[in-house]
Amino acid sequence: MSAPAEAMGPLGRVVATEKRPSTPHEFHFWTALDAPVGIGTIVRVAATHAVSGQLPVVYGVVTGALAWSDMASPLDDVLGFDGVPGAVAQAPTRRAEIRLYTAAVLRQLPEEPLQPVSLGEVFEATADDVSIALRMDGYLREGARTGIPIGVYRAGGTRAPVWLDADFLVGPEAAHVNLTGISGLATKTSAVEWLMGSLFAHFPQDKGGIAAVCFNVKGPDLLFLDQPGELGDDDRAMYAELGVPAEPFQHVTYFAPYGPKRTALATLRTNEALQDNVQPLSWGLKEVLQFAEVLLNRDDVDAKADALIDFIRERVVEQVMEDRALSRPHTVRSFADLEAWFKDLLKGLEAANQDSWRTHHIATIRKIRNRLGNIALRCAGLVADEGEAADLPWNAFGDRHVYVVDVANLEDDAQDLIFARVISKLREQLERGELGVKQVVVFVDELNRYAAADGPDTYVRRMLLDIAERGRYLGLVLASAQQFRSQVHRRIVGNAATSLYGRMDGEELATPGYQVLAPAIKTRLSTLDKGQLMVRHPHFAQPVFVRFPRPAVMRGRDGIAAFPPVADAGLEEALVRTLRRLDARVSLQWAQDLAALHDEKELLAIRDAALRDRTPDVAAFFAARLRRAAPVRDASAKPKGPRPVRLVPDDDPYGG
Amino acid sequence: MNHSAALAAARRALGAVPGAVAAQAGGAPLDLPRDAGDAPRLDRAPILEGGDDAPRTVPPLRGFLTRAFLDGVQRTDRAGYLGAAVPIVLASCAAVVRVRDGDGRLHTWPQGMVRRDAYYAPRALLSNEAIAALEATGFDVRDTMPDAGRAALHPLSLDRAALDQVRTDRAQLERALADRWTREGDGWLWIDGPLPGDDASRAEHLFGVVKSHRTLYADGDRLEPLFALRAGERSRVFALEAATRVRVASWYLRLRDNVGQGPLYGLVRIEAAITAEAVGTRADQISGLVLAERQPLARPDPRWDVMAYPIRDAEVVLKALL
Repeated sequence: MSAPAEAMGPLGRVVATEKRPSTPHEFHFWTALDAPVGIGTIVRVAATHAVSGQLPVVYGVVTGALAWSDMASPLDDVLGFDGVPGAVAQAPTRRAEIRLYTAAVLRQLPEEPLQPVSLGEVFEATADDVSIALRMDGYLREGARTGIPIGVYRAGGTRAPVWLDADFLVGPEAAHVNLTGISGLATKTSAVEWLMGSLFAHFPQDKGGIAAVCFNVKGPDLLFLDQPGELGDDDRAMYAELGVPAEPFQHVTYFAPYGPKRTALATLRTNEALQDNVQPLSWGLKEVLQFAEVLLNRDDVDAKADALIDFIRERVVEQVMEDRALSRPHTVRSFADLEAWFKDLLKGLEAANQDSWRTHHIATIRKIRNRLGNIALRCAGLVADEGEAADLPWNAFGDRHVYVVDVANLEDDAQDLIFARVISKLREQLERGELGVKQVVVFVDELNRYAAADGPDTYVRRMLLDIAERGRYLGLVLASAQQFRSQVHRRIVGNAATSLYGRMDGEELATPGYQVLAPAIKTRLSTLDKGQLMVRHPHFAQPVFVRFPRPAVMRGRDGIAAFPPVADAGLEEALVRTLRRLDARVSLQWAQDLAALHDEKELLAIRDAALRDRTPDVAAFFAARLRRAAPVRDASAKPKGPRPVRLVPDDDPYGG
Repeated sequence: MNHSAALAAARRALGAVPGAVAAQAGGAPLDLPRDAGDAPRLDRAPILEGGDDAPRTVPPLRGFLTRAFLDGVQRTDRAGYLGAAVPIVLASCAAVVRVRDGDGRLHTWPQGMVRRDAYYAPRALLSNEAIAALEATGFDVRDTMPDAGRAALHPLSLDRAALDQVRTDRAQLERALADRWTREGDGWLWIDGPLPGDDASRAEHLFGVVKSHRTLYADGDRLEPLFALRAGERSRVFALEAATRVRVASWYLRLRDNVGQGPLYGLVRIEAAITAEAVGTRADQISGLVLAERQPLARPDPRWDVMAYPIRDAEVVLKALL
């Protein structure tokens, strides 16, 4: 905390000239050369003339800085020192200089009448001044606190917490937060992790539960949120100052689809020490078919095809389907069942020489068979050809719980499908009040890719737009991030009530979206350190610069070093690794015996079921589901009788 | 109150005085150089330093730099006229001592700022009512009745008399500050112009630097060596004597080479008290102090070839004040 500004004396004086007048939104002031003022410093002006019996107080943030000397031309200096820069040190007198700052008005008290800023002394803002200047006093009142700390404002001797208003961050007044910053500094990920921790610590209990769903779209970024990270003394001091526990998230569950072979999950969080809260994400026919349009090429699938997909969804899946064209009744529960149904239907139609079935042309049926059949291939690992879904805990989301969905190692189609389905389900369940929490923050990075301004109108982009525009009414909050804000769909970033900016690229800052920022603010943005952000929030009349602590969670690359991923070593080891946490008796020998006897696909399907049901007796679970098979033979035993003679072609030059 | 505000107040006050007319803004300037109307002249002064008239190269400066700089300014305007031809002049005079700190930055010496605002008019020609109205604005009315009395009531003579009195008052302010520095200051004081008054002319650590040369203290065969001075060279020390002032030592110093610039370019004349120290040694020391102030340049002042930056700084301070 800082000493009262008056005790330290003024650090400047407002000046207003005909060429540089004060306005209700801007003023200028000069300071001593050593005054602790810079771009982003918040100041208070004490006016000297009362208006309506009250001395106005004006709060401003420095947005521009000028300095000049009494030199008329740079040539004067060159001439003065005969062109020898070193001679400057011998000059006995230093030229007169001025530091002139421009400040944008944050708030005027009284707010009416709104007048130009009058001449007066300028003081460094105290912590209380910062609170008033940013209108935080309105939502930090006892009994009605909705403040969420975003960081600490630091300038000169002042150190003041900066709070966002939960009503404008999560809703219902406004919602959504967007982060922009260049890649490589980890600012975006760190800021999101910090903000989530802050939100979980300070979100008012009376507003209902809140959870987060984070899509991990690259590397190991979000895979160690439950592990402690390295913090410095300054970080810990900031955590204490802002009332946020300096500890990792207490409740995190990770979801990842399987790899193409379905033996191991497609994630970098595969270290055995961290498997307790890692779960497979695997969807069956029913789940995928709801979002088939995500995966189908719109140019390829017309209205007729849509009609057939709807028919299958409504009348075929999970129903007993009987028809004259079919050789037998079908109950379609999996992609394998669906393929069998298609095969049977087409065979029946060909046999009857029919070119349509229930108004669907045979060519349409063939096309949809082909497209749907491909889904299982294109999203192998996510889509279970057989078996049931392993999914997020719908209807049972936990308060202050983070659900990380790792899509970093998936093909685009699979990523799209996951985004679409998870977001749709969240929206659907929040709308019905069935999710288990009232608010969910959805974090999506790389918005340049998923919601590009000039990109194709994809299903995912439409979903993101939908959250941005209507999510706050449902409690669905979008926390999005990207490198180039200018290249993201305008309605998505435009609907984000809170915008955070890390270090920015100069080229990006030159785009029209940043014209509202003063040149000096842009310069500061392009030189921000790690841990610094510029914050725009509905209550703040001007952007404010803050520092935030390093997140209290392990960084992705540190996590990979501490918990190296294990390689996918095949079926037997996969069975042991995944099932041993259910039942410690599971052994490699048992897995090898099963692998020798049974079909891999079948074993993996039973493993998925065992994980889903969390069975305590794995061997019994498998035994109950496995079909009868031949008894295990000793693979090392030599066959009885003579070995067959290997035939070698006569012309084989290497034979013999 | 700055000079412009004072002038506006004076013009308003004159509007209420019977027979007085407030002057319109603009008009011919009052302030002209003191010697603007004087003819240039050569004067022979007695030599104080031994040797011949050959230029003396100033040795490198050793020891302290000049600590403080004194300058004064004035601003005069016609506030109005009484009747048709008696000018009432409002003048503001000020002087300042600027002290240089260890970081090379200049600050006003706490005791080093004086200012005087007054009306200048021939009191005998003003009515009591007019004098009362003028004094009601807060400033004295200084008498500028020419010595020749009513016989010299030419309007230009009245202007000249007012200006002379203003200059006298300004010099008085400068002298007061120089005397104060002599008593309370610490270190060398550079005075812009001749040494003001007797105390300053006897003080060991004061010197005056004169930039204009309407009177040159050299003639005949001493002129050529003077004009031949090169940067960093000084002339022989001579004495300035007058019935009205204390005898002081003086010499010329070339600050900057004048090739292609004329004989007076970069040339200053220095005045200093005659002390027990050898005049040549003292002249070398003070010349070294003056040469050390050649940087930074005093541009954009047109007299930058002979003006020190701290003196320009003092002028800027004073003009801002007035």
